[in-house]
Amino acid sequence: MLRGIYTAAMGMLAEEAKVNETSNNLANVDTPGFKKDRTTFSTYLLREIERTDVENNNIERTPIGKLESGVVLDETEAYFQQGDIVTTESPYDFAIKGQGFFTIENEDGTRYYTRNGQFNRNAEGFLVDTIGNYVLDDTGSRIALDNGINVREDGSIFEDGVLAGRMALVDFEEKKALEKSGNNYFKPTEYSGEAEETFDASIIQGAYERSNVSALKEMVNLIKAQRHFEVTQRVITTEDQMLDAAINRVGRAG
Amino acid sequence: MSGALFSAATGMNAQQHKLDTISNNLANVDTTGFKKTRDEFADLMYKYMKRTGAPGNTESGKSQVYTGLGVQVANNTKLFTQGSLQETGRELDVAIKGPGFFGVQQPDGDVLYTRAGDLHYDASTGTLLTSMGYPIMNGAVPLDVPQSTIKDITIQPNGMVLVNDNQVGQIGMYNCVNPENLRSMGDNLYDDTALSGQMEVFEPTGGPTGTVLLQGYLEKSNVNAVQEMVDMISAQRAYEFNSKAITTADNMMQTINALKR
Repeated sequence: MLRGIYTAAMGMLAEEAKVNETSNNLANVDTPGFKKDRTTFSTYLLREIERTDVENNNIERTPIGKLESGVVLDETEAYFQQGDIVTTESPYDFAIKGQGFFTIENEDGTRYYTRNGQFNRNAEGFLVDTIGNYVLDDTGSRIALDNGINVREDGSIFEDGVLAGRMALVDFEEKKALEKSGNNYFKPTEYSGEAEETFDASIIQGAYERSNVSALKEMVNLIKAQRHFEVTQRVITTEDQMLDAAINRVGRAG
Repeated sequence: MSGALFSAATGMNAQQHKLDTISNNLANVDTTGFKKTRDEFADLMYKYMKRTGAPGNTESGKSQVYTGLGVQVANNTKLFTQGSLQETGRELDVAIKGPGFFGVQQPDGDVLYTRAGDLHYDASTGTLLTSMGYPIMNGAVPLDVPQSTIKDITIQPNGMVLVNDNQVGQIGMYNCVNPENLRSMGDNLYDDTALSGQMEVFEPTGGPTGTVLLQGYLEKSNVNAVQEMVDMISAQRAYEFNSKAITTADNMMQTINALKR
């Protein structure tokens, strides 16, 4: 009976994590280049249930089914589905159509990768992102905007009509192992693989990619999580009532 | 659950801020030379409960478990797109076509910058004033226009001011590397900041991408009311979504509370 209480409590904890995640997705429903998260769950401590038969002094065990003792968080994964692309009037807005990331470098030389293409120009005349870190081209240098900028679909940069390089567009072998580090950044990890230049995606100037969060799906998730939470809560109170009966009423006459 | 509460609260805060910005843009839909502002959002930190390659991770080592902590307004940018040019026929309306700013002198001697060219002539001091009464600069000093009637004043596309066909000075044009990061001072005025770079005088050259001054025109606000209304609707809905997340978290906490009778 006590095991049931713990199993149900694990279910409540899992739904709590789900609501935290949904809430973050909803908070970022308007964050450019944001990729929604999905947490998956797995069963915990799978146990075989066996029937024990004793025949002719032989003990025989026959499997009759499985019992799981609860649920745990398995993994959180960002969904790299394309977000809507909206056009703007700013020449420093860029959207990636297809899979890939812009390469960003901060003052210390640390590189980050992002899908947020709301860029600006800084005081030195370089193309920078929302936070003020530099956007890089394919040779790893900063992009100067002294003569204006014109980026074609393949990412090639034209300054004053002259080809001046290509905007760095990279992709990773194992995107789900990328680490989210805030400010719309992704950071490579040991398992994501190195950033490799990609030619599969195209760049659109004067547009940016919106968050790929669907408010509708997140709302459904909220309802689901809340109701499941209530159900598992009911399981716990039921178990509690049963315990109460077992302790206080079993064996009482009348 | 408190995670959900707080990240939804950051979402409501950010949308509130966006609504403030939209309201200000809409309020200035008819302000001469006004440039609209845009809020730029970024996600906040992530809390990692399991990292890739951590001990005890599943077979591949690739899986991770994390929760995001919400959203922030990371930046405000002004969009210096050209506002539409409206012909007024008034002699002292001057529109800037292309990049650049007028310099205006403040009572304390500081110089601020504006694109609003609805000018007035002050015959007593011989200066051209903005609608707020600040003199227009010519280099380091206010532009001096000798005693004349308004009808006699001609402003050429390069900023040269003529009175009865005699050159009396030039309307100074200023620009900086990064106008997007100018600070708005109110009264249509901007001040340069470390991020915008120093304001410097330049010669309006004209041409397809250069700057020209147009006498008898005004530059309207570059706010697009339709776009702002659409943004307002989307901000309001996003605000509501986040409030629903808060209600859900609250209900779930109530459910927890009901566990123990």
